[in-house]
Amino acid sequence: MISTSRTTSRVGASIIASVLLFSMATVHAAESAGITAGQLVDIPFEQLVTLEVSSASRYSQKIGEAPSAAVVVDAEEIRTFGYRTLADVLRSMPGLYISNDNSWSYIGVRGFSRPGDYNTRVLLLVDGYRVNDNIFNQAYIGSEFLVDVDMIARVEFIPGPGASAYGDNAFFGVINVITKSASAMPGSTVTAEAGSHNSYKGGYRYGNRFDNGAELVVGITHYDSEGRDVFSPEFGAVAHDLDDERYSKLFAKFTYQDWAFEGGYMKRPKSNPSAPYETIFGDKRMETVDTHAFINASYSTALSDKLNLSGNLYYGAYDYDGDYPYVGTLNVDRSRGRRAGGEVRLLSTAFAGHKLLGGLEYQKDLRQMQRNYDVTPPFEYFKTDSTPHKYGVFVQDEYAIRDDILLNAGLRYDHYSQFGGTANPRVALIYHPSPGNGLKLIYGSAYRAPNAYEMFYGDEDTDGYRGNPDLRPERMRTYEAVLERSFGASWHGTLSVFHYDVENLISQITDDTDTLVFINGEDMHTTGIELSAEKRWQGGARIKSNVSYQEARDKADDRWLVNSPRLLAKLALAVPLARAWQAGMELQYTGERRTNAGEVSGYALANLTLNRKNLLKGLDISLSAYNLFDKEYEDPADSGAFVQDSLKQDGRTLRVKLDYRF
Amino acid sequence: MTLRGLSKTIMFFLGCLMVVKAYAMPPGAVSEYELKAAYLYNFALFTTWPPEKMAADGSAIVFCVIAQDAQVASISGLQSKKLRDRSILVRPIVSPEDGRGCHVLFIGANGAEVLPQLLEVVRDAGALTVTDIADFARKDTVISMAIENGRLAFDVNLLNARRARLTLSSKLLKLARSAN
Repeated sequence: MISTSRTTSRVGASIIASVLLFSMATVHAAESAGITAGQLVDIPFEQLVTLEVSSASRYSQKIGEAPSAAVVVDAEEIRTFGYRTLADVLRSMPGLYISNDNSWSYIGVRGFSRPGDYNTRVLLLVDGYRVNDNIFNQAYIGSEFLVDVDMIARVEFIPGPGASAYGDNAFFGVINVITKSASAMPGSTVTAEAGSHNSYKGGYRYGNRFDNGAELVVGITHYDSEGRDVFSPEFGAVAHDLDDERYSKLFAKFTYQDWAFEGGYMKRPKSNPSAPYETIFGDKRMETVDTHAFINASYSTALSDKLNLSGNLYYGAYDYDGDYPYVGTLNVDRSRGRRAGGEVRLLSTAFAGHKLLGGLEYQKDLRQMQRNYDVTPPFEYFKTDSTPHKYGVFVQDEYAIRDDILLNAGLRYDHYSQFGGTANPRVALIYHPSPGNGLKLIYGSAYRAPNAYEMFYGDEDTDGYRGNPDLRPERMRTYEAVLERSFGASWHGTLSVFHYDVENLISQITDDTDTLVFINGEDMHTTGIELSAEKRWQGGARIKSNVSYQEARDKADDRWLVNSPRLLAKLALAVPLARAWQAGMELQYTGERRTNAGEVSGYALANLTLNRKNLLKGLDISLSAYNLFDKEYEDPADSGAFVQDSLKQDGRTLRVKLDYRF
Repeated sequence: MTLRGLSKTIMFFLGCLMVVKAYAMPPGAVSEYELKAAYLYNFALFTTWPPEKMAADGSAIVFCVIAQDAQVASISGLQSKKLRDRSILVRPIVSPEDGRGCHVLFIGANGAEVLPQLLEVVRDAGALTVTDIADFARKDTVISMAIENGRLAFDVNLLNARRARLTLSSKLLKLARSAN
């Protein structure tokens, strides 16, 4: 019997060997369109003070001028609030919510996170490298994320359609993860963590800036957790030792002058206590393994003081291996994704008042193998593979109509060998009278291309599953207004109103032959409002709060979407305590959500982290309690995978973390 | 047209356009972090440290920096320059204890939390403390920078300069938005 949807394997050695280190341009473009501090110091000070200040590139754009209500969390906040995963970081941001099915974590944006979808509508970048794999197009945000949180310098979330700049998957938003440079973590650091459910993590990281200006960053992490024992009312029993999770991560970055070389490897085996896809409840063979590996070479140089050239070249691999135990057989689900590609960009500030960006991107899928088979008796249900390619061309102009008014317009055309082209514009008008104050009016459009899983999982003869090669891209149009305002000395507030209109959503249905197949069908729309405010006090205390309300509905029957909370509210408080201790407190409320059969109630979680830098010389300590009040809550489940209508989530967990620098 | 052909044509077109335009226009705006780094250099240039702080001839001027990565990188660019015939050493610091021995101490966005302890450590150590954190750090440091109307302005706190036993040149004070 055929089990399911996904599977991985060993990527490792093959990738590291197959090097493509030859390139033009960076993804994480340089700060300015040219002049460096070294050149500026030759200008007399009295002339220096007359120069106009700005920041340039697409990626390091000042948040206030970004054509979106962008949010940033930096390494300092990751430490203060004890965030363990990228999902923890995202959960703290306005309008975002996270759900989990014991295998992967899923991000909800603008009230949209359908159970059974694999995070395909958010683009995840690490220093500009596209993490979404080339089979499921999934953004891996839980502990299955490529890079350890201790290696992250900052996480930016740019809500709204980013297709005009980034192409595929930049549908509801873009998560931009920027890793630490050597100057942010000089020397060696050893990390040790222990937590509830027999969870342990150990790591070593090293950063060095050499005399010739070259920088090296290396990090290695291993994690092992027994997980919790869950009582399942559906099966009337407790799932013992069925929530195991282990992962190993390796990341390295080397930068020298205009070049950056980066590589990473991640492997995570995970059990699942909820017996997905009607597997035998309580069978320890149930396991999914995700493996990722990548290398990325990027280059960025100033051709003149007004022209910057950047680009990158990458190779990425993703393996999925799922073992699904059934009576009489073990069913194995496997995927092998391999891709290579690159991007070239030119940024010019040559025209007065214009910041012009143009670029070209290309990706070749070298492998998109999917296979499902039984071990005993041996039987193969299907095996497919394809090697399509795609390219995108984009231009973007930021035009300063006046000192305080910016017009940001972008257009991108993408072409797919499998189904042709799509063009996506974005226009934003930004009024920015003073730092911290502004009004942005944004119109955008985005698409998401069908992925290999949706098109080729199951062939004509496969019982129960059939791929649909005729799928077309989903489309979306969005309208948004963002108001930013500073109050008094240190309050800063943002108000955002939005309407998203989505068409041709790719959804899984059961057809008249009882076969699961993806079709372009549903249209939906969501309207909402988001309010956030933050304040910093002298001495280091700060508060961040946000509330969002949204209505996401299916257009056909006007029905409220599954797993779509109307109300989200978050409060985060960082306070310095006595003796250089610091407390980070969070309250997060997620409103009630519809499930396939009913509803799950809203819940509030409280998290508390106490930390102290330099408890002893070089030793930092942090103590965390997550879900402090042990609140019971559930996430809606995918009816295609689970018998359960909803899945119970973690109660209170504790963690101690030590970092020693030497 | 093949993909490669298309890419070449676009690159060539954009390239020509921009190179031609590049020579016809007045200098544009400068990156915030690069400009702040250049200011930092000038602050040091117009500062005289107490004699014991400048012991050996030819020893380096130490710039200690606690800031976001991108800003640390910009300031690190100063290392290729000389300051009154002394070389410049940029040292990113993590904990307050690292603040000893600095000539210039720059505290950027993520240094707010350790600022009180840091200032405690360098209080009488003759360090030129500079920040670009808005508002609240100003009264505690010698110099603070802020963007005003698209230009980078700075304010000098003379009392803090005197406490640190630093002499600031009149040229520096003249260019400051305020000095009191």
